[in-house]
Amino acid sequence: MPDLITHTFAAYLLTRTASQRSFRYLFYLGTILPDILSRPIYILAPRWYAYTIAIHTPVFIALTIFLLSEWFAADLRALARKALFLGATLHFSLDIMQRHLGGGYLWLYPFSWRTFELGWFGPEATVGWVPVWIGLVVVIEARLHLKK
Amino acid sequence: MRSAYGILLCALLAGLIYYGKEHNPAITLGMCMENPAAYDGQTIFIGTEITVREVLEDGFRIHQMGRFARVYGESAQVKKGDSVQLVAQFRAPDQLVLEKLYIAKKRRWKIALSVVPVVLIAVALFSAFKVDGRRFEIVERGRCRTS
Repeated sequence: MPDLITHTFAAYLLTRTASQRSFRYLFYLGTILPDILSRPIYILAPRWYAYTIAIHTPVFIALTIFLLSEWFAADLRALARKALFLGATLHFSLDIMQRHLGGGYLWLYPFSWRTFELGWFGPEATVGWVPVWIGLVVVIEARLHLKK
Repeated sequence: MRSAYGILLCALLAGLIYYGKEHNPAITLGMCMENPAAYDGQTIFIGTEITVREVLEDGFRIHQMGRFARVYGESAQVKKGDSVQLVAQFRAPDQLVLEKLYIAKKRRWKIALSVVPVVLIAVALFSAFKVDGRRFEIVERGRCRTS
């Protein structure tokens, strides 16, 4: 995975001008959802790694989004589902660009164990760009603030 | 209807987790070390939480989930404490011959930095939504609900 600042920055760029604050925040949640569900287990309790294989997959995340959106009030449910779906789609779009030594993510799980990735950058390559992302957010926010 | 749907979704998620654990075709270092004869000569990928414990002239020693293995291969770039991933040939009972190596140099930074957006997004979500205790559902803050 790229770091979550990179994931969130991509989500920020796509949604900053969206007028609906609820949509934007749920989109952010969607964009970090695959990692916040799987990585803490993977990092803090690696012995349970086998249980996390399914979690970082599109099918699992899609079902999780259906489940999560059920907790929202009826008038928010469709918005929550849409924002979380789009956010998660963005997450997987960045993940597929990576290059892993041992293959990549299981995009077609549980139907196939085959992996595919574009191989454009390594999993840690985005860490060096984090100061740039933060600088860009500051510039964008300053410009938007000055326009008001 | 809603609860039946929720139970169905939970069951599907549990099924996916179970299937991933039980049917993953990958060969792990743990499997090799538990049954060395069966996996002798097998090329495997080892990528889960591996750290370099000792650097040697002709390789290094790795630690993964309580297991230690001796890796033979190029060790010039490796430092003690590095997080690594490797493709290697398993040699019974606990040795590996390195084929490919990836050193995740900034992994700790990546994990530490990744906590920041999680906290910020949590704060943002709490500022925008709240749990309606009576209805047991998430609603927007500051919106009047009359029905």
